[in-house]
Amino acid sequence: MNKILKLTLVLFLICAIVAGVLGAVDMVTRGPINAYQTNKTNEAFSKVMPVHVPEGEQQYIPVDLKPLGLSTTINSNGQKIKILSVSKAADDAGYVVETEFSGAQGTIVMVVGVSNRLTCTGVSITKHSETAGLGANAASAADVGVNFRNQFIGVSKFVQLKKAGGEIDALSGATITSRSVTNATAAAIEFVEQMLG
Amino acid sequence: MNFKKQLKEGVITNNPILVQQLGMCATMAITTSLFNGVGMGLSVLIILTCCNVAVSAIRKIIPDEIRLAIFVVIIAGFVTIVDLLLQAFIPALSESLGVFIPLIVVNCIIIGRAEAFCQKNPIGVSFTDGITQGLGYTAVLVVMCLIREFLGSGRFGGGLIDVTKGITLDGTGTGIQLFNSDYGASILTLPVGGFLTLGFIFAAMQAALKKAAKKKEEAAKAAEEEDAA
Repeated sequence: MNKILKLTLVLFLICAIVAGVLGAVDMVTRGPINAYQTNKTNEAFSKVMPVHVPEGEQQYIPVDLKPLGLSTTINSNGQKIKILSVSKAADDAGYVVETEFSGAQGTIVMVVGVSNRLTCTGVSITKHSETAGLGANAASAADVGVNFRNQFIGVSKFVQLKKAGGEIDALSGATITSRSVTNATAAAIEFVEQMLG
Repeated sequence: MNFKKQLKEGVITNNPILVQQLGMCATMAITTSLFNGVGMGLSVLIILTCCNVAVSAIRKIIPDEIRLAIFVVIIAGFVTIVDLLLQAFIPALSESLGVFIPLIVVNCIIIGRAEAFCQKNPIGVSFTDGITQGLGYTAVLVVMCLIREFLGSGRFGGGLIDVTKGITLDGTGTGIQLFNSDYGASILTLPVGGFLTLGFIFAAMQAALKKAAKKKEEAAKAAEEEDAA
């Protein structure tokens, strides 16, 4: 009995020390990480739908989704896509939809620009944990990522991968990621369509 | 044990990847650009050194029955610290390495060194062991990155070097294009290329080690014959 108590105590102490140190590190890093995320989301917004308003004015006006009574989960080609937020471009160019869905490895958060004519104006991934060198290319700033994402400019809600008879070339070795990005784009357009009635 | 001997062990005769054959999963996945290779190598080096020192420091109070649990807690702690620091201060690297930083927790190199080395050795040697083994790991990653980048896309130093900006630590460098990437064997940039490259490096390493061993044996034999004569 004494032995078990001793083992428990040692393990507990070590866990407590590690937890304490992690807490301290978190205090230091939380600020920069959050700032980076916010910055990245803002950047993604202006990438998928640039807004031309006088400087200092609000560029994107969040749309309150609650009174609309719409379901924020869209079923797109059998995949569930969650709509996190919708913002209206201040110059009436269209909407920016923030979507959340499963990729090949984990959750992907992606921003989709949707024009008033219900076409996609661009996609940008703000958060993901896809495999480096494969699915992660979908979010990469290198040519492979840019070329992949540019394919979505101008597509409608019927967008599909080439494999399924559509127009999008999947990333090599990352069909699941490519398919989910395609589904999310379709879902975002679908949601804006529902919203506009 | 001196530093030179440990360095030789870490990088050559007891290299974590090429000789101990540990931690190969991440090795094959991330070695697509020099930026990733150097970043991952240094992250492992730092985590390995910290864990080695911590494990060695408390080696006398760790009860044998729960040593693995304690190692994992310590390793997970350091990995999380490095992960958070990367996210906060080198976000580009954190993004391109993706899930492989958190996965260092289960990287067998680190728990392997804790179990096989630091548990039995004082802090000083454990510290150098972390550095030398980390260097050995980094060296293999860098070699693999160079081979795969050059043959796969005709590039040198992707992410880390830029023709106009010099050395880029934020991963935006485009590297030096040595020949048109259309002529590259793009299979090498895919995971299968990781397997192939690592296989060839293994073979080269084994051949070199065998040759060295043979030479040593021959020298010993010659000395013996001389003695007999």
